[in-house]
Amino acid sequence: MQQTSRRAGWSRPAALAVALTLVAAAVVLPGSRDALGQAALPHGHPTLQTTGVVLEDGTEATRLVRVAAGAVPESGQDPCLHCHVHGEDTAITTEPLRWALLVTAGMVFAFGMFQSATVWRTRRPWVPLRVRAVRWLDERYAFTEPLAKALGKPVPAFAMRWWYCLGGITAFLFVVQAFTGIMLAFYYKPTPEAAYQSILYIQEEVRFGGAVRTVHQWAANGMIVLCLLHMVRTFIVGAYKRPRELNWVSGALLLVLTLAFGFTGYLLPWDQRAYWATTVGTEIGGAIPVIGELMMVMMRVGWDVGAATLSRFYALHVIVLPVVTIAAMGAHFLMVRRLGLARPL
Amino acid sequence: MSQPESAVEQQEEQTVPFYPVQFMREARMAAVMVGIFLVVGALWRVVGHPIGDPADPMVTPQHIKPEWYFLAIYQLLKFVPKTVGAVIPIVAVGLLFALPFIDRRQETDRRPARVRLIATVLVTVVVVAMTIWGGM
Repeated sequence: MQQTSRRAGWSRPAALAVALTLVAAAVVLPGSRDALGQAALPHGHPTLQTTGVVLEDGTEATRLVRVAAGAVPESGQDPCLHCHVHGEDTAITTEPLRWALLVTAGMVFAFGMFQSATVWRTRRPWVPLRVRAVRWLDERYAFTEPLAKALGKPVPAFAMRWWYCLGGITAFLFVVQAFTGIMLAFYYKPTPEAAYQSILYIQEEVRFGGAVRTVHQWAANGMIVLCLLHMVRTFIVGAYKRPRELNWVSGALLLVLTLAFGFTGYLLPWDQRAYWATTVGTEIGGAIPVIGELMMVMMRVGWDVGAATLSRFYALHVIVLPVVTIAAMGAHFLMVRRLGLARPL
Repeated sequence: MSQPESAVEQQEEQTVPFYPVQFMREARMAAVMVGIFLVVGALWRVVGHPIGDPADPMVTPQHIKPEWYFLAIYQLLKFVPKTVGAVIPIVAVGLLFALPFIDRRQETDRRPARVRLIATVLVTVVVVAMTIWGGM
C-alpha cells in the first residue's frame, strides 16, 4: 500500500515535467513555417539522370548522376548545402513531428489529471493501465489462461545446447527477409527497362537503401547456411525418425523453397550476372528428361529470358514463395510443438 | 511405454519452461543477428555484392557463375553429361524427402548417430571442395 502511494507520488510530478518539456520543445523547435513552399526556393531539388561514362580501361558503363535543376545559387556553392545549411529547406516531417509532440504532451497531461481525479474520487489505489487492458481483453477473448499454458510449456533441458537454436535463427532470418524485402519492394520496378535503374536508385538515393539491400543479400545467404546446418543437426541426431517423418519432409520442403527464393531473387537486379546466371540455370533445368523442356519454358515464359521472365520471377519471389513458405513454416512449428524434441541417446 | 517408473520421473524433471528460459534464449540469438545486420548495413559499401553492368542479351560474358550454393552442381556438370548432371540433384532432393521412410529403424544405442556424423563430415568435405573448385 505504502509502495503504491509512493510510486503515485512520484509519477505525477514526473509526468508533468515530461509534459512541460514536450510543450516547450514543440513551441521552441526552430524552423520556418512556410517549409513546404518549393516554389519559394530559387531552384528545384536536384534530380537523377543516367549517363554513359567511359571508364579508365576504355569500357563503357552506365552511371546515375545528380543533376541540379534550375540555377545554382552561387558559384562554387553546393546546391544541397545551400538549402540544408541555410535553413531554407525544412524537412517534410517537421510539421507532423511538432504536432505529435504537442498531442503527446496533451495526452500525458490529460492522463495525469484523470489519474489524480480518479484516485481522489474513488479513494482506491490506481489500477495500472496495463492491468486494465489485460482485464478488458480477457473478458472478451479469455486469452490469459491458454497463453500462460502455451508459454509455460516445459521444454527438455537438453534443448538449451547451442545446436538446437539453428532452426529458430533460420525462422528469424525469414522475418528479416520479409521486412527488408517489403522495404525494397516499395522502390523496385520489375521491368527490364526500369529494374536496373531502380536498384541504383535504391542504393544511391533511398535513405538506408544500400544498407537494406545488403542486409537482404546477407540474410538470404545466411538463411541457406543455417537451413543446411539445422538439417545436418537433425540428420545426425536422428530426429527425422518416427513419429517425426513429416516434420523432416516439411523441413526439406522449406530448404527447397529457400533455394527457390535465392534463384528467383538473383535475377531481379537485371544486371549481366543475374541475366546469364538465370539463362544458364534454367538451361540446366531444361536438360532434365521428359519434363525439363516444359519446365524451362514455363520458368522463362517462352524460349528466352526476357521481360515476362522477370515479371514471373518477381511474382514468385514476393507472392507465391512467401505464402507457401509461411504455410510450410506453420506446419513445421506446429509439429515441433505437438511432438516435442527427439531425445538424443 | 515399458520404461521403468523412476526413469520416466527423472526425464520429466529435466525440463525448463518455454517462457522465459527458451524464449529469452531465442530472443538473445535474434538480438545477436540484429547486431550483425546493423554492422553489415553500416559497412554495406564494403561487404555488399555490387551490381554489375546492365543485362544485355546480345553480349555473353566470359565467366558465367551461379550463386555459391549451386557451384557444386555447376562443377559436377563439367564432368558428366548434361542430362545426368540435371538428374542427380533431382534424385538427391527426392532421397532427401524420402529419408525418414527409407531409414525407419528405431535406435537403441549411439552407433547409427556416429555413422551418420562420419557420413555427414565426408559429404560436407566433398561438397565444400566442389564448391571452392567451381568458384575458382
